[in-house]
Amino acid sequence: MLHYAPVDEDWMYPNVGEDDCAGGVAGGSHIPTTPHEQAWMFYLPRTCAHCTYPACLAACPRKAIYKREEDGIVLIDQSRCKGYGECVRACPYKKSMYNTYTRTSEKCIGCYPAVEQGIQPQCVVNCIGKIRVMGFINPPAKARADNPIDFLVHKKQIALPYYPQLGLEPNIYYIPPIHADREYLHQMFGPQVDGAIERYRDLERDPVAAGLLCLMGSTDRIMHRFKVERGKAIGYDDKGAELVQVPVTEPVIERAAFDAKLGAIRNNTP
Amino acid sequence: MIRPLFIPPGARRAAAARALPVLALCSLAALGCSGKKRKAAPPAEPPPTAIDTLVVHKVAADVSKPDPAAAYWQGLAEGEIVMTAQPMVAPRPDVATTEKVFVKAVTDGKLAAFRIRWRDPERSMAGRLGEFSDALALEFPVKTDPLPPVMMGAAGAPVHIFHWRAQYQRDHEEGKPTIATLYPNASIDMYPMEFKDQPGAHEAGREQFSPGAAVGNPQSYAKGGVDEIIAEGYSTSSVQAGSEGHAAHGDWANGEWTLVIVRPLATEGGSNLAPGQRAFIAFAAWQGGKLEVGSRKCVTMAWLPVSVQ
Ligand code: SF4
Ligand code: SF4
Repeated sequence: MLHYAPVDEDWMYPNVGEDDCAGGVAGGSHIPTTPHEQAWMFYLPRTCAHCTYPACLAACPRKAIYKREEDGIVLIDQSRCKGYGECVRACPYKKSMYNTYTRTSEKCIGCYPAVEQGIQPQCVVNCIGKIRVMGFINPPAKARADNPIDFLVHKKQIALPYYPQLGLEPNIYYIPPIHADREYLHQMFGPQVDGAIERYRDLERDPVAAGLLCLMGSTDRIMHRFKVERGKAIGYDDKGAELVQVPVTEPVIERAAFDAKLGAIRNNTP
Repeated sequence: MIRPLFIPPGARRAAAARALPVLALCSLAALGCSGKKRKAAPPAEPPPTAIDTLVVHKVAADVSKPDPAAAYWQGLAEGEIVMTAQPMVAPRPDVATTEKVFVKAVTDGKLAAFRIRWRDPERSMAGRLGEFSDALALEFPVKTDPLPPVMMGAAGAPVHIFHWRAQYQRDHEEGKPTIATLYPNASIDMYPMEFKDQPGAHEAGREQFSPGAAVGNPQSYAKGGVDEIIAEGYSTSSVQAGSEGHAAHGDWANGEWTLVIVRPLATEGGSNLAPGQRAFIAFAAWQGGKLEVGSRKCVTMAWLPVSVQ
């Protein structure tokens, strides 16, 4: 992918095949252990990673790409881009795309108008699985245990950048899938993936981590700090004001399967 | 000090060799005519020669229409200009794809027309992803004493560029292609754009998804044949808005472009050409078929003096 200039075919059917099984599974077989050597798949939302050392930025001979000091968001200046496509070639993640209509290259804007108002990006707040969180990371030496991102990346070390060997320090960190082929995961997330998976499996014994996972997807505001106490996880904004409070363990309520009042069968939908 | 353009001796030899196929073509033409009523043979074109000054010949004709076949080009000496792969700014081309351009210039006292000829094996006009346009640019210093750096000028020492793209010419003559023309089978589920199975959707629907157009990027609009640009150093080139006093037209045939760019002799805030006045020119060429765009181009390495008659 390094310096590969994509052609129409590359982006023509971006989702074709993503749900398809690449091999056969014999009838009656089961998957006894993880990682699953026989069959595995996972989804990975891959938006622009607003890299610390963006290849797209370095490649643009017009200097039309810049990284914002205030939030690290990498933007293509749409008034200066001349559509040379150098960033499209250079980004190894192939996240900048040439638009044949506007004749400029375009990419994820990190939802900067929302971020400027303290709101998390759309792809984060819209995640129905509530498994995404956006925040601001500190360098390892300045990591704060009460910063949600520092906690996941530096303290618990369960979230890893993908293809770190490309050297751009991408700023999306993934909690790696636990079922997938390890060799593949090593290639994608580097040698720390084994430890990250182990620590993730251990997470249920850590109420602070469990609390943070509950906070994810519970507010559309950017959390700068969080705290877990007395079975509650609390998120705070940059000024220390409380944004949201959630129970770390949802109370269990047992109800009859049939709701006589509404005349409807109850679904157990979390 | 004006440095004359350095012409390597090899280039002169190549120029002499080039005259041969021209001669061969002439004799074929003569064969084709035999047996029919003899037409007057067109006056033989002098072969291009290396030059140390580009003379802008005064002609008694209106040169405002860019016409590579106009009669006033006939018989004028053609200068041979040596180009090299842009050497300064990454990304650079690996090889010099356009090794030479051949130039004639005329003026009617108000406008100057430059006729540039260069080899380009395929005609490229961009459009779909990964396609780039053939292009050529003329560069003039805004001030000549001292001269700005020939490669894009410098802060406080601007250069004035006339940048033609085959793509702009196609837009101008045939209209800017829509997605429906570039990708006739493209289809999408939700967006109100002009895809084939979106009844009632139209191009205006796409415009609201055009950030380039929204912020006034000239790149996102249909152009005339040529962009007028001011630059003060690498990465600074900016298209000048509303400059309509120029035009261009190129014809591609047999692996060769013949292009005419017309510009006013006098401009406001830009470069000026006048009889008896110090003036200079430089050239750049892009072969879209070789994926050349931006800094991937061939350029002249020094200012060539210009003498306006
Ligand atoms: S992921 Fe690609 S487009 Fe995004 S900042 Fe990094 S190099 Fe640039
Ligand atoms: S929703 Fe916003 S942050 Fe997410 S990919 Fe789109 S532009 Fe980027």
